[in-house]
Amino acid sequence: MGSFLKRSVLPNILVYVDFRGGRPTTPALFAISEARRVSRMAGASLYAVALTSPLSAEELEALARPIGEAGADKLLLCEANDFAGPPLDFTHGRGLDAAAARVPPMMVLFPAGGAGDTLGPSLAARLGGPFAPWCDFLTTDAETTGPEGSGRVQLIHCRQDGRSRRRLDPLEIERPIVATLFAGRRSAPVGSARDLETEVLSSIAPIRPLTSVQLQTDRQTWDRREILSLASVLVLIGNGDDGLPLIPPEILRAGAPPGVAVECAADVPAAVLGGCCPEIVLKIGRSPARTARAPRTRVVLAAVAPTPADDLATEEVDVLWPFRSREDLTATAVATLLAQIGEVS
Amino acid sequence: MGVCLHAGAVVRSALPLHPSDRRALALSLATGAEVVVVEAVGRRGSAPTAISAALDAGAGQAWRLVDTALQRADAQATGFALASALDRLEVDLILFGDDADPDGIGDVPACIAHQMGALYVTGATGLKSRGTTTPAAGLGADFPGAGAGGRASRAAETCVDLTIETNLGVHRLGPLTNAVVGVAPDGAWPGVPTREEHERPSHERPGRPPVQVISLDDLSIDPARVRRRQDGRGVIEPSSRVLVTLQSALAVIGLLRR
Repeated sequence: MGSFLKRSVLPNILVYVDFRGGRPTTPALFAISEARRVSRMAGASLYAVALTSPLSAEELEALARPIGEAGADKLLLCEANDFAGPPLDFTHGRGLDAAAARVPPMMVLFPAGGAGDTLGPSLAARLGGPFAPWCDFLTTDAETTGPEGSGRVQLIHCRQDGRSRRRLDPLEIERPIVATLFAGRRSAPVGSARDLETEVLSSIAPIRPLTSVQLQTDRQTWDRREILSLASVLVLIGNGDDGLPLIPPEILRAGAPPGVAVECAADVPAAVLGGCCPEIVLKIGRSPARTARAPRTRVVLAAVAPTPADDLATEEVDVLWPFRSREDLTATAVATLLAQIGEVS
Repeated sequence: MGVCLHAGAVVRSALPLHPSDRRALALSLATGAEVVVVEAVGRRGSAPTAISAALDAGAGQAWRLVDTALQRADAQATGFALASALDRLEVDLILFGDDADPDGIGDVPACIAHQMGALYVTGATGLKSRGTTTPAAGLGADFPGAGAGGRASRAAETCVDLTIETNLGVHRLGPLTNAVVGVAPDGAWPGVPTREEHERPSHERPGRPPVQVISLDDLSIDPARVRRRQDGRGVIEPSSRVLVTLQSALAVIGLLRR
């Protein structure tokens, strides 16, 4: 029975595509490229899923080209006027249901900085599988002895405090796994836009009859959330004893490489930070601000040398970069690091 | 109105009240509704620390679902058990802390919503009551994939407007009557008790209602239905995190390049 179920798991990987201004976000393309990498090992087909308002031919071309170049085998396109709004389960969930019904998945992946923490858990509940937030892949090739479990591709999810981790093997679990990935560095394009086939899904269930529910969007409350949520390197500047930022963020932003976001920790809504999962977090000074973290996420704290009473475990720091005094913690020192972080990320 | 402590996760030891759970409780109490707090416990004998703190913070009722079978329950099974308990308690709106799950997964509330045929929303930062309203008949029963076919209609339901904040913007949503709502974190230091928790023992509030304990038997749920052969959330492994101290930017870069 068990082996029958293992064989019956369809090796399809679905990747939900977040997009801004009609183009896929950088984390979405990273998620597709990661899925491409592991789908070769798992022998899986890779489908990108895009839920949009109706598109013209030019708009579809602009959307599909980078998806094909990132390595997707096929684009499943769901078009409806309701998808123009923010991705909420009661509007977008039915589109994902249609995609999962069309292509029964082994894994459904959501990129960082998007709708994964809203749409992922409810999709997992409907599919009857586990939800694994902020994951990384654990892969083994044919020559290497893998960890316990039968799959060559497994998912790793860490607790926020880093004391334990969960390893999910799609073949052992025998149910679709819904996971969110971190905002990592993009690999070189592996696919071709010409190879990307697009299928429009028309069998979308009607929207839930909640016609009395009104949805309004206020986009002007904090205008840097998009930059922050899509960054692979995030610099969070804490305040000094005088209540002012330790380093003016404008100075660091001026020389920051692409993919690096610089913010004052006190200005960023905690709700926004909770949906960000960068690969590197550089905290300038201590602050309670924290992002989601994946196994590959590393938190660097640059601070005046902490006393023994300072509980760094609370701050979940991986690397401590201590300074003797606040005068030593200068914009120049941090900018030197940021300039080279661009090469890392 | 109900608050699911620890984002519905089954706890096996005494945990303090999470800041996001405290915020969910405060938002619920601000609407003027009676608030029921619910906690799922997988081991008998663990101290009711979080739920007692919730009672001290103003919750009207406190229920612990205690059963050893929950230790082997995955999110779907836990969600089913909690949805049964919440339905029995006639809760209209269920709140939870988005980041209150000790494992950082937070998948149980979506399963509760699925079982109850309720709307699932996360990132709430504001809650405004519209009072009570007559519910629509069979609300949620026609939602594709709804597990239990929606919940039974009630004479009246709490009706609220929500403000939700995500990394895509701030949205206002309402009116809602049957929903599972995640409350956004407020930026407090994680895992650090508030000043009130330091200063006041948890059993001091005069006239505080007792913590009620129920089991799966009380909900007429066969423990075999929630006990899984394997944990669907994967295999738990220890993971060490070593704090590395480096003295220069070049050394930090060198480490990040590895």
